[in-house]
Amino acid sequence: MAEEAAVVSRPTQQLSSRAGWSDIKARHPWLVFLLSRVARLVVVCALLLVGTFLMVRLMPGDPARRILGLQATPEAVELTRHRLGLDRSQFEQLWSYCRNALHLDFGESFSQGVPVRELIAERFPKTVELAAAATMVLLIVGFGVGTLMAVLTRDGRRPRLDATYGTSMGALSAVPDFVLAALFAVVFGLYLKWFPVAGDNGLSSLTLPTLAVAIPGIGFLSRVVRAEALDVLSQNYVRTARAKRLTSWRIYVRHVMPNAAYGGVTLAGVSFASLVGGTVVVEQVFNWPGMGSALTSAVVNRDYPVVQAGVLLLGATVVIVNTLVDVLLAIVDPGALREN
Amino acid sequence: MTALEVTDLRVQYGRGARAVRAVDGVSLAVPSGGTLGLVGESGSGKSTVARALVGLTHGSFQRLVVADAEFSSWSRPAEARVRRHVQFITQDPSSAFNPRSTIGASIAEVLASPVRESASGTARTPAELLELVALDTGVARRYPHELSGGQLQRASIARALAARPSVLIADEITSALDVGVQAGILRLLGDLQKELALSIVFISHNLAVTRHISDQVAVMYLGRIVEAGDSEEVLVQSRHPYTRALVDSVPRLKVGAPLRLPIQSEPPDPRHPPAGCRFHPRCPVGPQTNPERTDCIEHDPGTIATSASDAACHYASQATRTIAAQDTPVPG
Amino acid sequence: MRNKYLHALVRTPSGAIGALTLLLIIALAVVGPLLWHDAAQAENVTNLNLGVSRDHLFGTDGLGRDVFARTMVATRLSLLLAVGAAVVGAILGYVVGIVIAVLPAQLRRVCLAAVDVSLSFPVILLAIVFVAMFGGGTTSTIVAIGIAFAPPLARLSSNLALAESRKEYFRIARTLGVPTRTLLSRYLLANIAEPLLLTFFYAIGSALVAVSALSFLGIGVQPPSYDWGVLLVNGFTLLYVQPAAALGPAAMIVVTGIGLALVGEASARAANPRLTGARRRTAGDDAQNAQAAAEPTPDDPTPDDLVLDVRGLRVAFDTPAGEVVPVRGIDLRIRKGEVLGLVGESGSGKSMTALAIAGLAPANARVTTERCRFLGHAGTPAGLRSRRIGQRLAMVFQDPATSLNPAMRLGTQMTEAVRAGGVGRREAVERAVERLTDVRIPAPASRLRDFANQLSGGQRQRVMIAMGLMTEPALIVADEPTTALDVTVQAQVLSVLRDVNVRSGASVLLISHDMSVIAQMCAKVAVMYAGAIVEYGDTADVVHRPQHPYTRALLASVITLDHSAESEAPAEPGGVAQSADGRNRPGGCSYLARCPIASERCADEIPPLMQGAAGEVACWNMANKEQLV
Repeated sequence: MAEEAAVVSRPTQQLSSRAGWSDIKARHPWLVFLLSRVARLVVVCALLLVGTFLMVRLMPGDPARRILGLQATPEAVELTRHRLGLDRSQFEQLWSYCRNALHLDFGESFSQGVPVRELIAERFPKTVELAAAATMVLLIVGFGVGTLMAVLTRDGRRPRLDATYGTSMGALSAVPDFVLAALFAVVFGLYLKWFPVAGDNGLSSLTLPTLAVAIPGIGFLSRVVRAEALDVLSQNYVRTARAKRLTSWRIYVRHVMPNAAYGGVTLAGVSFASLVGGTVVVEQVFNWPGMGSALTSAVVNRDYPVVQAGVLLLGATVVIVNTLVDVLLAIVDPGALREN
Repeated sequence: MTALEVTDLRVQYGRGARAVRAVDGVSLAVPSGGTLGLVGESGSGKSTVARALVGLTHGSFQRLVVADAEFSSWSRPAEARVRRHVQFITQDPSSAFNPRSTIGASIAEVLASPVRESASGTARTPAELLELVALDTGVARRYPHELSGGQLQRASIARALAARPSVLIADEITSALDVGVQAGILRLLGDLQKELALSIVFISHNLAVTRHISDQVAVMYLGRIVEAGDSEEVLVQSRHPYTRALVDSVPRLKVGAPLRLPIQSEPPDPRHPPAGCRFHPRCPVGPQTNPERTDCIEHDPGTIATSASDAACHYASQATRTIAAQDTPVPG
Repeated sequence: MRNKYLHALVRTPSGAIGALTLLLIIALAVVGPLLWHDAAQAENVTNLNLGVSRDHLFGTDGLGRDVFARTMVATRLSLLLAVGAAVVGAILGYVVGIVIAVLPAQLRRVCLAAVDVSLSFPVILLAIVFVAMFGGGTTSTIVAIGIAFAPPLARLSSNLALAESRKEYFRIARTLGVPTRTLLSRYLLANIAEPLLLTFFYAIGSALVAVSALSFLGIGVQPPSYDWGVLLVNGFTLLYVQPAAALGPAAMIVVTGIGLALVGEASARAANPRLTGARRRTAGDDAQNAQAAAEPTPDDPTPDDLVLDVRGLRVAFDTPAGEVVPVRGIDLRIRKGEVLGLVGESGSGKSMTALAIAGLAPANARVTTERCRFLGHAGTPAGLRSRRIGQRLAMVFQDPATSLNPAMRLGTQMTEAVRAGGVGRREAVERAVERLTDVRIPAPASRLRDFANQLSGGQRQRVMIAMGLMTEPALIVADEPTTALDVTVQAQVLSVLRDVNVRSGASVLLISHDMSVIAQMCAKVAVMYAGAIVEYGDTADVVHRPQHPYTRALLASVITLDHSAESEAPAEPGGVAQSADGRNRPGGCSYLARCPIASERCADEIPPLMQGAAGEVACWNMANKEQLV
């Protein structure tokens, strides 16, 4: 029924008579879209701030006591309470926490005695490096394999390959990254000695963690890509392209790929965002000096300033990347903007 | 005597600049025991009228009369009254049944509904209802996906009848069916109407079918009724140029008949209906061909009630003659 | 339903292997702690960090305990933790999700936005945060991971519940007065239970990974309790000395994970028949078809005025239930400039005929012809070696909204075929503008920069026709080109098609279910029933003096404006559509069961198309010239 809604002429005198928000909305969809995304970003970051603040406060018992242990003297506890600002009112605490956080000041690490900011400045880029490398591998292999399988098994061709592929990718995505990491460390690090097992000594150190992070994702991503590509292949406009006797190459490159790219951008963003926060365990295995291992040891050591800052930073990264993906998608497919 | 009556029905989708007035002040009355046909192109709002009448879409109205009870707004009692007396059958029977229930179970749960207790007429068993629509009683044990489109549409009529309605709203119920199956469903509907004294609102884009089943017909264009009256009168001696154009566009089963093309343009954007008469940019007798007819642009001829037997056109009486002169047979 | 899953598990080897693995693991979880408890606890200072041996399959750990025994014992705790976390996550997520789905729209939108935000954080990160809040340990691990799992499960269940409540049958049930309790139980929950259960299954697998990860990080299960994650990290510290201590527990995690994945995969396939591509057999692809079609028959020259000459076109599919033949050997001859109508009901095979001629039949279709010539060249248009000759067949499809590429400008779509054939850019654009003018598109030059969604339905269909005209087609195959359009727009599209036929001289094969459309457009008509042409001739003869009993029944059921209301109700021709499934049936006329004039011969022999009083008719009894309509 909405078919003919997409029609042509729009009497302008009617538009100008309707002023206000809806008018702006109709005329500047881009502006409205960007504003709404930025607003959402701000809200989520504010929620993150409050959340990380409450995280420490909501824990059972006195944080200072938890940090210092049962044997601590009352004076030491009092000192720590003061350092944490726990002796002030909750609202005051929240306010100073937010203000400091906006200046990227998270206080000092309890366990290491250095400012949290310095610790993060050193660790965070390492995690981004690993996540970016893994995302690249993930996307290249995942898209390649997924598209290839879609083409090979379209219209129910090669059913045996289809079944084998589905099963093996399912199995692959069932292998946890830290198990792969351990396996890689033993095989490639220990026995074959191709790559270093721990630390960060440039590209060769990056290889094993990258693979360990990327491979389980490939099992998932390539199946999603395949489903997406099969869906595009079955669209009527692809049939139209075939009816025009275009070469298969042209059909894939001009008609299938641009339409599959939409899903691709989404997946790329989502993968990167989830990898930034998801490399925690692999970092631990390879002793990779990133945020993940810092966060884990902070949790173990009850180093709350570091936990707060880490969660806040990783969370903000995830949200920012997702916002960027939304904007990118709107560029790839302006139609989505109109729907919004 | 009317079985169902609504005055000034309005339905709006969306808000602000994107708002569409899908139904814009429709008044209709279904004669008791008779059939009111509602025709129009897609986007005319005819299906929205149906869905608003049974509460599937939210609409506002001035007055709603269901089986002698009058309501001024959509309220719980109004809803209850509609549930009890009005039933709805959709275009696509395959989406009308719960895929996890057998046909028999789907009918039985309507029979068991507490709303039905005070309904008029005698209760029937699922088997009796299936017999009533000329289906084998074994169908009760089948699942929806095991039946053909025609069988399913019969089953959905049976289920609607289980609610013992006095008014049946049939929304494009034969559009998804093959012509042969369509003829059977229409005959069934006619038989049931006689047997059960049903009042029917028959909504269709197919003028031929509507003409044969309806006593009265209302023609909708962009959310309004532009012509209404006796079925024969409206579809044979149409007064509104739009009705005339619709009738002329229907291909005839006559070999070698000239292909007629009464309207060259396509429907306008419903979000921004034209000022004045909404049909004027496409009208074959309007300002496009007769520039002196400026009142079509300036004055809105409005909408009319189905009881009125009239056409919402400034030049209604001249429509027929003028179109005949304008008729453009296409070369070839 | 249960049978379906069991069946799926037994049916596929991967499903069977997965099920067997899981059974073994569960058995191990039950008996493991009973059998190996003592061995797992026994410390032995003389046996520290031993390698793999017969006594110690996975070696020993830093306290001299047997890692194999510990791994076996840990099975129970690992599984319990995974299942526990999945249960917590499912209860939390499903309840929240379904509650969100039934909230009022405004509130629902806010809640869904909140869920979406929490959804964007990786599960392991959320789990770490919650563990940090609750402190380590078994219970807090379960709760932390459960909460971390809740957002995706909530999103899924609210999506499913919302989709369900928006289904037509759900809404209709409400108007029918079905009580809310029934609506919730028999409609909503019954329809979403299956995907929710499947997801729960996957959640167990993911929970196992998450639990192990937390333990591995030292913030999950705390000693002296141990699960596979704890064993893995203990083994990991010995990696250089004794890798088996790490690889043993790792293997258990992997094996359990894969078992769950295999079973989940098999069940999902059982739940969604669309995924079951495996049973469809591909019987020969395009190349083979083209070869079969292109067999040269040089001795039989085609008359010059035939654009298309197909004999014995047959399209068959292999299905588990046997061979299905939607098109069973039909002949089609289309002359230059002719408009031939192909009429039939759904399932008659008319659309498959069009697709087969254009070489667009599905890949698993077996298309064969006894003979096929297009423009005097042997072979189907698709099988022709020359792309340019193949391009002289243009297709117009039923649904213009989806037949144009939404992401490509109309100009590019229109010109790409001729551009690929070597026509220059400017010339191609000029030609496109010309063709758009031919199909009466206003302001054609600016239209070229538009996308399909900027056009109305009728304009899209006219653009489709214009696009076909770009390659100067000799034949336009239009498959139900106006079925999706309104009558006024239908008239416009038909007149454009007529125009094009007259002006360019291209022949048209017009496929429709609507006899009236055919009557107005076509000089000749072929009537299809159950994959065969049952009558062929001048449209006037077929419409006014039908000879085949099916044609007569079909025409009698047509309701037109001209059939006055006083005339008797049109007869239903015995539900033709239902019977025409194209299955192989024993020799005999396919219309036999419904035919009012059938004789004995009709049951034994398939009637071929024979010369009738006028045109050709496939009926043994057409000579029975009884009252013709």
